[in-house]
Amino acid sequence: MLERTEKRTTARQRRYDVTGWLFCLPAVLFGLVFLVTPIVLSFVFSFTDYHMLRGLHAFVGFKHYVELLHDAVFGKAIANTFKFAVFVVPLQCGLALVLALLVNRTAKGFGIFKLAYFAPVITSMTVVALLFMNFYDTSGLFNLLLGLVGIEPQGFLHDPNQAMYSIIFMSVWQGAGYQMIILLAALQNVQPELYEAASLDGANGWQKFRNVTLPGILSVGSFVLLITVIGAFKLFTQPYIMTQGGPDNSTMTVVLYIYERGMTDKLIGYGSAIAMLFTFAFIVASAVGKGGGRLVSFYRVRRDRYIEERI
Amino acid sequence: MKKVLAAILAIVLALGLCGCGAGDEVAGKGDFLGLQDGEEFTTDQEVAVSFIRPRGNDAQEAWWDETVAAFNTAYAGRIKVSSEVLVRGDNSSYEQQIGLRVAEGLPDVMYMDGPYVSNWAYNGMIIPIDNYITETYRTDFMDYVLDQGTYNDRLYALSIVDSTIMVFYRKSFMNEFLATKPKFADGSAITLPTSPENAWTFNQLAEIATKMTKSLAGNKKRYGLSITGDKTEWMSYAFSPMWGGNILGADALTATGNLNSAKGMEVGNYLRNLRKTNAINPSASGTDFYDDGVKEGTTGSDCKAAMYFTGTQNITKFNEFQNIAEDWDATYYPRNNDGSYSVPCGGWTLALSKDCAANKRVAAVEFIKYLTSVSSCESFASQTASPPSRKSLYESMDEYKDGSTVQNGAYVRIKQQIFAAAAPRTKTIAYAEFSPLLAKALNEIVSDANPNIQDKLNTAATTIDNKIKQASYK
Repeated sequence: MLERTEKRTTARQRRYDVTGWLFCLPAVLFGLVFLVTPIVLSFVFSFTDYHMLRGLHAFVGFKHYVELLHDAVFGKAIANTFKFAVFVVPLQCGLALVLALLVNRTAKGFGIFKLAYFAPVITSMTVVALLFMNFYDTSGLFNLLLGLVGIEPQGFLHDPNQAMYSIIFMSVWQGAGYQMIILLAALQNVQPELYEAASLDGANGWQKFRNVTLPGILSVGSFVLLITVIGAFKLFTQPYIMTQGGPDNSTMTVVLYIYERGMTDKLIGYGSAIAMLFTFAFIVASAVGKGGGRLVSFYRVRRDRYIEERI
Repeated sequence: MKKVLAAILAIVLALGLCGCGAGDEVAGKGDFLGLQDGEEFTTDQEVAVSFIRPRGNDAQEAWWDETVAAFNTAYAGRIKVSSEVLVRGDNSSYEQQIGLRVAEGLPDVMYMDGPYVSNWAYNGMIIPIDNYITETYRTDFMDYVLDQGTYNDRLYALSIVDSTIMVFYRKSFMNEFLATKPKFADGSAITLPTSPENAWTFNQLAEIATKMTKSLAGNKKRYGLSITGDKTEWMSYAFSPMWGGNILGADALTATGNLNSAKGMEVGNYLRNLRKTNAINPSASGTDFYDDGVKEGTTGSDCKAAMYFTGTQNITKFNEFQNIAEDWDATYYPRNNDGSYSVPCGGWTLALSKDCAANKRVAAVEFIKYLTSVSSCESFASQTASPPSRKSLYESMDEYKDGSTVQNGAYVRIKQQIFAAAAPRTKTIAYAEFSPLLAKALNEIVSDANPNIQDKLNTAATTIDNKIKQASYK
């Protein structure tokens, strides 16, 4: 009897297993076809002379990687990508936090601000880019406004010293609403009692923000930071539409360069090598980030333990 | 792990090598495998021919639909052509889409941009058609059209119509400044050229454009000239003749020392001065010449450019507007300032792909011959207002006949300049690398308020040379 029950359980378990796998299958297949296969192919192609029009004729070993070391445009693309991330991440996250704090009120009429700040996010980046191309034009809105205060027209997208900053400004404006909505959700999850307690302890606004709000949204804040960093390093649409990487490659980014070498120049092998380096750099950065996170957690636990001991 | 990696590498290499060797043999030069002129195409079984082309304007689309349908009717039971239409867009997206299909197999017949013939032939994407087309059939085509379609002494492509660049102008604005009318503030006046021999030089064009720039009410301006076109290659098409035919050196593969030479600086300074003297609007939209165009149910704003340096492909656009159809006219492409004259031409052309099976090639070429027949060339040229690729049509089509008054003789002037000095756009196997980068550099010289012209040309030349080297062109 016992043996039969075990058998039945095993059969049922197997059925469960099969059902589980069937549920997973679409996602697994999707991942295999659209994620794993391209990465593996890209890795392999990076060691070949694969040309889009001529096909693949030979393995060239590390030739492309060596060439990349001497590729000045690639170096510039890396520098530009970092420059974009260094400016966009704090500006976008900071602005998002300020906006979230501003709209985190229940008073009547504040909903309209949420909508207004979020509107650029749901607008296609292509549309936003085209709109800002008009604003940045020699005879566009921004130069018109500058003209009113006696400033000469600026070549926002045509001056190598200004083009990247113009893209940064537009990107911050366009993307902050997204982070704002996430941070707003986090802000609304902070327990009101904590604020009341802080008030009773005589905390002022800044102290409440520093000791109640910030710790309350820290984990969501790290997530927002992470997605902003990832988004910044993937910069493509804005320079592709607005400047094509120019003037003088001042807005060339790594992803745009992958596209230019792989698609426009048809050098699949070379483009794949850049993509692989980029992926590798991302993995290393993620590992460092994760290590850093663990370090922070480790010290936080130690700090909490120390406080508890003191209490 | 090593075994898995080795297996993946082996599979990918095998697939790659299989893909490379998929096409049938190509016949040698001089081997004739086609039909003689007038010979009827016969077959036991209907041959399916696939055809790919980019989407054109309304007039072109109507022509393609009618013509392909007429071909299928005329060859019912023998050849069946199925068309695929891609959106061309900007940034060479049509060429990219075709490039992406190389591995999976290309359609039998491809409509392609003429300057890419050498590039596609070099890369083995298209095969020669001279094994299927008689010498007699070719004699009626303009020499520069055959030149554009020829690579390594083999004919790869034939065109239905072509394009060239003219200085288009609005008569209503130009007439204000003609010698017989009130003159410019300095007392000078415009004299329109009467033949390609006395076409304006580039400097004269700049001078006239500067004088024609006019302030309008409300702090607006109507510039003398618009030179705006698509960002990918327009500037290369329009201004490369200013280099005097030596933009990529004798091997057509060396930009450094040629593109960035003293001649290059001259071109750069010329474009820079167009902006400095307000002859052009640095942020023109491309519609400046016909922004005041009125169509049924719509009203235009202000015309922002009195002249438009552009290709003949835009004539159908001008004709769409009630108030511009009769108002536009055209004068010749400018001469170089040293007096030399070369008119850039080059339009879309028909070629046979590497994947067209040997037993389908005669049928596929029959389709190309149908599209390039006298009647097809005439109807396409007429409907799209493009210069035809056949010499005989310049004698038979009313608008091109000597003394024609159609559009004030503009079409005759198109004919005159083509017969006087037409040349294909820069012929190089590295056209895909060269043209966009030159266009980018020239665009930046115009749009940047304080460009370092030599730096921009040097960067373009170095980048082109590096790309040519990396792509292993020989």
